[in-house]
Amino acid sequence: MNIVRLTIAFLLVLCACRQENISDFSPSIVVDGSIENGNFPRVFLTRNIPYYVKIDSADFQKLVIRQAKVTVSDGEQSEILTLKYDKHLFPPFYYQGNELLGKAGNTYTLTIEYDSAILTATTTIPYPVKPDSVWFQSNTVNPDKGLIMVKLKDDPDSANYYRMCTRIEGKQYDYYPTLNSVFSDRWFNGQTTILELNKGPETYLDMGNEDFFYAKNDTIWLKVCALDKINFDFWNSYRNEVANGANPIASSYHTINSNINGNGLGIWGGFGITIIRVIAK
Amino acid sequence: MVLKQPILPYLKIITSGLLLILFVSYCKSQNNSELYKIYGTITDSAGTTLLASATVIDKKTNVVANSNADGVYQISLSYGEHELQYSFIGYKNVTLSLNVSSDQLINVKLTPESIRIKEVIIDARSSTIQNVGTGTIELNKKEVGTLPLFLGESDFYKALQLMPGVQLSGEGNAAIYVRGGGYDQNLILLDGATVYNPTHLLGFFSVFNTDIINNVTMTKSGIPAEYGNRISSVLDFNTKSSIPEQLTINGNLGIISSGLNIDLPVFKHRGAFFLAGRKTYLNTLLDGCRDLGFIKHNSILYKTRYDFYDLNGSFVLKLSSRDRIMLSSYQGNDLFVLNSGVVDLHTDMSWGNQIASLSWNHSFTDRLYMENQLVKSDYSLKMQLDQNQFQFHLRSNINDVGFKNRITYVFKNHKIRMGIALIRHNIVPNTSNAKTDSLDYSFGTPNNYHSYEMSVFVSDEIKLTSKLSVIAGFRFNSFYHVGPFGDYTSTDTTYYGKGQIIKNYHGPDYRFSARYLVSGDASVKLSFNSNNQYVNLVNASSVTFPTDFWIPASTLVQPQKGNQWAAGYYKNIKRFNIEASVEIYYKTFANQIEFNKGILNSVDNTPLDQNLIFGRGRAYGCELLIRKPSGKLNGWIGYTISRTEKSFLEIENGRWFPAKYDRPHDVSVVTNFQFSQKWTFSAVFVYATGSAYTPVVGRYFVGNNLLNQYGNYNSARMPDYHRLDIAATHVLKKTDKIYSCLIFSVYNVYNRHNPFFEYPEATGNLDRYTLKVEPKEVSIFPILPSISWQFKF
Repeated sequence: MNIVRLTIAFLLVLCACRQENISDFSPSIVVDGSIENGNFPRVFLTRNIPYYVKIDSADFQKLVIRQAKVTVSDGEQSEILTLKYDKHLFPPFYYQGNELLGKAGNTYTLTIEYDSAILTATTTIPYPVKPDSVWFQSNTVNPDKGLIMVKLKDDPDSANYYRMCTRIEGKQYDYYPTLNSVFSDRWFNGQTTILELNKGPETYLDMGNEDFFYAKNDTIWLKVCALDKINFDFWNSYRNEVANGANPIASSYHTINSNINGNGLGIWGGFGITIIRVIAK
Repeated sequence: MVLKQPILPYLKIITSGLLLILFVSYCKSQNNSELYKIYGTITDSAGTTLLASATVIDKKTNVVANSNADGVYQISLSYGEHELQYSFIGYKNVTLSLNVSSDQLINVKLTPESIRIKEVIIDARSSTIQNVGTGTIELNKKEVGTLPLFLGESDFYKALQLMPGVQLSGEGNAAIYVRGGGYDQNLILLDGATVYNPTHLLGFFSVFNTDIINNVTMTKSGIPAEYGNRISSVLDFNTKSSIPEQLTINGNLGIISSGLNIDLPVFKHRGAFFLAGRKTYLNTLLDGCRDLGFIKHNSILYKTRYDFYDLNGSFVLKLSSRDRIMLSSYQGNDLFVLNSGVVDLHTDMSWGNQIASLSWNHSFTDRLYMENQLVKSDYSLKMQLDQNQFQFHLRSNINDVGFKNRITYVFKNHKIRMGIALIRHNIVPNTSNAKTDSLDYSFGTPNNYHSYEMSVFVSDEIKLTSKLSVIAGFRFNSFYHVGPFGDYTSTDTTYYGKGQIIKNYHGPDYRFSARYLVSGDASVKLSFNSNNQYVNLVNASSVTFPTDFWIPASTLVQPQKGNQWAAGYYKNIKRFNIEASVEIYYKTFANQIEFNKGILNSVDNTPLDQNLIFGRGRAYGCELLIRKPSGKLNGWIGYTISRTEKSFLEIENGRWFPAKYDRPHDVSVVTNFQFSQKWTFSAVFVYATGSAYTPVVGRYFVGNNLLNQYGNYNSARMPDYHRLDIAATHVLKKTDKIYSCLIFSVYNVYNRHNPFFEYPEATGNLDRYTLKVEPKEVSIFPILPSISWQFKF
């Protein structure tokens, strides 16, 4: 019966309690910051929230950070951003500059100081890209709805990344990314390509009435953004996670490529923008 | 005349004495050290059907031998009296007493039993003790036939999942994991040809139609040198090949699928045709379940359509008493349609295997036997996504063509095997294109990998003493990745011409096993094997979905390597008619692969191998099996306790994390009870620790959306998986010619909602500042009763 004893001993060794390395929630500062050429930098600061949660407006107030010191510098000048309020945005409080405007080709550093934590990040603003043409294309099935088509020529000498956002005049206050919003020039480097854009949801939290198409007779403002690779990696992984994160068939390894240094999440990104008005007809 | 009477008795005594002395001294000189060969053919009573894999046991020494594919057996016995029992499923046993003093030819004829659901084969009892390899499981049709597997369909592949060491894959997951090895580390063969995707969607059914499969042998450790290119296990399926006496038709009619099988002897019983087909009408069932409310709104089955078919055909011909050829083929296809209401998306997926194998077996002598095989395996996956005018196609393909040769030579105490294998692989891991009404997107040239695998092997099973036998095997592999191929980076491309060698790998595989007979009914075994694997599967989703990619070794993808040490103790408890065994193992893996991006990100034809990360793994565990193979009540209990871990530098700096399919506790209980001549009842209960996944520990807002913050990789567990299935078989009619029975079965008797996956559902209104995030579980199979009718004539 030595075998039996040996087996039991072996089994006990295997059973020896092993704590899985389950990490608990740890609070971080979330940065949603951007700077565009010709515009002041804008930074939203919030906190992350734990696991399964149910919160109401009172809790929401606590999520927004309103007492941080937010500084943006281009290497020569720097400015401390001031807190602003706009009820149309979410979150409604944000930090914005008043003097330092974004300029294509520059590098901008963001520094956030809050509650003994210091976060930093850098980004660049690439030169804006102007598409050859932009137009509205009706659906064959339902001509009252359609897509926005963008024809542009890619610069063959560099790796280029694009992000598309739209704002529907009279119906939307801010720009929202299109359904497929981020593009890399990997497969059309140096070529002229046509991108098809579906209207993206304002938020994936509430998509009940969303039909992903632009409506005829609307005036749509298209913002064509050029961004650098780091910024692109964030928004690319962001789009993947937001659209596919809950789908076990699509997602495999979740990472959002944040560029914030320190105990922070999120992005500080520069955009070289071109704004075009499209009338859907 | 006068002398005879007084002398004769003395003469008799002297002669007897002399003879006795001679006899004794002769016996002593024999000393049981020399063995004699008893050999011959085992056939049915008519002498026309050769019985392959029939068993011959010497009841005195417990030596076992099996007849080969041509019904030829050979057993080595010591001098003296022996009792040989010849047996084969479906036939009455024959026992011969013989006095062995020289090599003898004994041909044996067995009489068929009348057809009925028989008790499980009894002779496996002795052979497990005797078998020199650890971790070997054999299943034949009769054992599998009475198990209440899914919806009245018995299935070899699913029966193997009930064995210890084979991890339960859980709801909707079609893969098997053997001793912590990934799904791709199992070599699954059908008559020698590789089967790349052995199951239909969500693991409902395997492609192995029980009607046409004769048996399967699974080896979990000590993989024989004749099998290469996989590091965890070999599942060797063989289709029927013994020539039937007359035309036999059997089939089954079930509520979700039906099948028909025809066995036809031809050329005056020198050959035979075997045909089997199976088709599902699952859609009808799904509609019914939906209407009755069995399938809930959150179930993934709510808006799906699904269909598959399997078609097997083979032809066997005995060219002469020494030659047999066999052509076997399989073709199957799955079609799956998913409609997503949210974005008006329509997805069509289809995939299938096409397999063929042509073999020629030749016996040179009774000791020298050769098998040659030409094999072909094709697997393809097609996916199409439609959204308005936007169309997206994805396809992946594998085409294998190969030749295998194996020579077996038996002499004295050696059984030598040697041979070669040559396989050409043509693999397209993923290729996609998209178009709209006006535009065709270019995603670059498809990745098409051409490679060659060449191996030579030799192994020897040596009986060192009557108690100790060892096997030593060695296999040398060469693997080449050849052109045409374009090596893309984002700025540069290198083109290789046809046949140009881009990368090659060479590596040896080793195998060593030893078996020591502690007594007549117990043995101890040890084994070690080291293997290379050149074709690997990349798991691109959280579940095993046909979108997983096979990718061969190349410049960026090194071959996987695995080492395994195993030991076991095997005992038959004759008093209770029980076989028991305990096995422990420890494995290490190198060059394990994980996919770095979501699958929908890779649709731009980024060469797949640039999206991969590489690391290592380790697995260890203990398997207990208690099996009662015969009697009115028979079945088995298997319990495995184990651990499987991986480490990748890119994932948390190489921290060891549990593999997704690490299931520390795995229990299977299988019971069959033959209540009467007409009724048999069976039950299967399975339990496994939940699989590992990466939990969400926090959330945060960016850009009007809620993002997930993930915890440590695979640090959380799904709820434990358990399920009870029962079945009852009622024999309606059984005669020598006709057999028919009804099978009533219930899958998931207590309707446990084993989760397929869990996801957080977030709902909220940003204008009113409300947010709620709740866990939602999706499960697939509720309680599912079914009836099917089986017949044979």
